[in-house]
Amino acid sequence: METIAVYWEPQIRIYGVTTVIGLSLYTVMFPAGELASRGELIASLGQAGVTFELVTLQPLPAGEMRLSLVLAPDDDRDRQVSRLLESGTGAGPGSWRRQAPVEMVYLHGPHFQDRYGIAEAAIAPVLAASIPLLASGCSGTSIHLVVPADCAARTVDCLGQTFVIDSRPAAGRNNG
Amino acid sequence: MNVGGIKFSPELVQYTCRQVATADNSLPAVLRQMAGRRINLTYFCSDRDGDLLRSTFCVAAAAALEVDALLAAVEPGDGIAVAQPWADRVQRIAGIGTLTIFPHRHSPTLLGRVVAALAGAGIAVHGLCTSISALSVNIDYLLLDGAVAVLAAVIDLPEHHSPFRPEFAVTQIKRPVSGIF
Repeated sequence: METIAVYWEPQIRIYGVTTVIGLSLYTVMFPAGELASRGELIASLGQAGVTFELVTLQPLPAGEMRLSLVLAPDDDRDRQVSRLLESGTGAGPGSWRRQAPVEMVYLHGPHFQDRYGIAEAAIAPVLAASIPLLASGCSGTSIHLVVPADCAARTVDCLGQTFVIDSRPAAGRNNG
Repeated sequence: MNVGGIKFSPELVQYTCRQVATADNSLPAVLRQMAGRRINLTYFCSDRDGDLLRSTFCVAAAAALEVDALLAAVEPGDGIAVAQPWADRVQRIAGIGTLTIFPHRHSPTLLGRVVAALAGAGIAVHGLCTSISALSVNIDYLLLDGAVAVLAAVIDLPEHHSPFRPEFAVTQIKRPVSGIF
């Protein structure tokens, strides 16, 4: 059975844009075969009271992977995370690094996952403005853009070119 | 650990590509062309190799041939020489399924246990990305059901969970001509 519903908007409408500043971005490279032990290491961060803002994992050539973790600001916690990453299996010098402070802009909208053109609308204007996109995630109903310090405001301006920001709260349950 | 639920994607193809130079503008070109052809990206994430952007995205398996052709045709930009054909520059993994777990509650414990359990069971994790409340993990499409069985050891699902697989598909079709409504 097919149901056709008609909805049209001249510009993509979103439910709001949020900016978070003073974050830490950790990137960790490791062989894909170490993923299980890395998972246990990540779990131990949670037991140490760490929470994340964004996590991505991408495959690299030659059977390696790179994990990017964006964490809330907390000096003590940063030291804890650094210690844990250093103590991780096979985590030699250069296998991880921390960039701080970084800023994150995130936005969410209706059914991003079911609609074409959303990633282009979010990513292309930021790249066109030569804002270094340090990390990003676009899945479910939200988009996260991580940029260097003092770049979030410009990023929000860029998003204003392609999105209409609606301040009404999202209705219903949010499954991400 | 209690979670609200799990859902599966349809079968997807995952692409990972990296800029070949800082002036390489092939990513926005590919995104623009995919949007122009109404190809939906169900998953996108990026990070950096130094100054170069590396991005991973997924499209429905039915759209993959069209995306292959787009990637083969795209040029990185004026004056940027590319020695390798696109197939050598882009990691393409067919038969991907995204397993989405929600909510993640910003918890590295949940994330780490999920990753460790899947990898420990020999289920390759091809990528993952978090959204505002969900954790999306890309694995082999044919292993989605097996992955849920593995994850039963680390997460608790609600008693009356809805089906993992989508019961309907949403497709955005051609934009109507302005002025009709």
